Amino acid sequence: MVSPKRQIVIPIPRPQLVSPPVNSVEQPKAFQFAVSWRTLLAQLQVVEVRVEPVAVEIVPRETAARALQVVDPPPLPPEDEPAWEMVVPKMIRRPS
Amino acid sequence: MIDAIKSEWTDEALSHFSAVMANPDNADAHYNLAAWLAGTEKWEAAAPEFGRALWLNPRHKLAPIGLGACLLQMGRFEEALEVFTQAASDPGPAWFGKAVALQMLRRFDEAEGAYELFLESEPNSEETLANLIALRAETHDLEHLREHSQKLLSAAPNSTAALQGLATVALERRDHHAAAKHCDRIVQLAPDCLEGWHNLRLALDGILSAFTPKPAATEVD
Repeated sequence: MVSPKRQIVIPIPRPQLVSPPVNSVEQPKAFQFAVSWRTLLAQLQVVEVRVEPVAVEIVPRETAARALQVVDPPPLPPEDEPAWEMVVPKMIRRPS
Repeated sequence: MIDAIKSEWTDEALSHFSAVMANPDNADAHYNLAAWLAGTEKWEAAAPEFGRALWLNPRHKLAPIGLGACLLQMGRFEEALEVFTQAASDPGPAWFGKAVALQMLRRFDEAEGAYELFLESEPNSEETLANLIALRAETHDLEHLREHSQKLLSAAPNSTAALQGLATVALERRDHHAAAKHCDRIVQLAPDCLEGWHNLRLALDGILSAFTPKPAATEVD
């Protein structure tokens, strides 16, 4: 009596490479055609920047003064008081 | 060497940005910054600068070309078409851009017309002929595909696009000798073209099979 645990192992053959059927015809592969636009990018060269001279607007003196906020000068000192005094340095004889 | 390139790059960037800061209303300053950005493939940053240049000077000749090119790069073909159409008053780069946008939108008849018009001003434009080859391959127009491929090949004898066009026609017409000749040249010029190798083998098989004796036909009852 053969033990139920004992099994006959039959090696399973590996799948073999088969040649394609006789009637199958290999088809050409389509080439990959690309659309490009390098022509456009080649146009993009740096140009010289020309700065237009700005016209200077001439404004009346009063407008300019207002814009500059000109303030009145400080009051002058009275006439009898000298505003300043000149100090003459004294000559000192050096001992010989 | 890399430091020198980095330094030059930084100088250029500073120069263009400074020009815009100093002259914010100068179309050319914006255009130069945009052209520099496009040169460094920063399309999304370049597009608004081209747009600004165009807004400041609606008659700027190069700003619409740059703006349209950026939009093509970003895959915004409808907008690119609008920009090129407004700028394409006479056959020039804007016409070419319009044709490309139409081709990308698969409006092939209109694209063909725009390319043909551009070719009148630049008959040997290799890129135009290559794009037309792509268009004819897409529409499966073999006769025009052969015509454009031959024209491109005479202008540029090492053009793989032209050879691929001629090989496509030869393969379709089962002209194995011509297909093998063109595919052989393709794989010489572009060894990584897998289609070229595959089609070369098929063409050579086709030539060899012509010499292989066929088994005699057997009568079937």
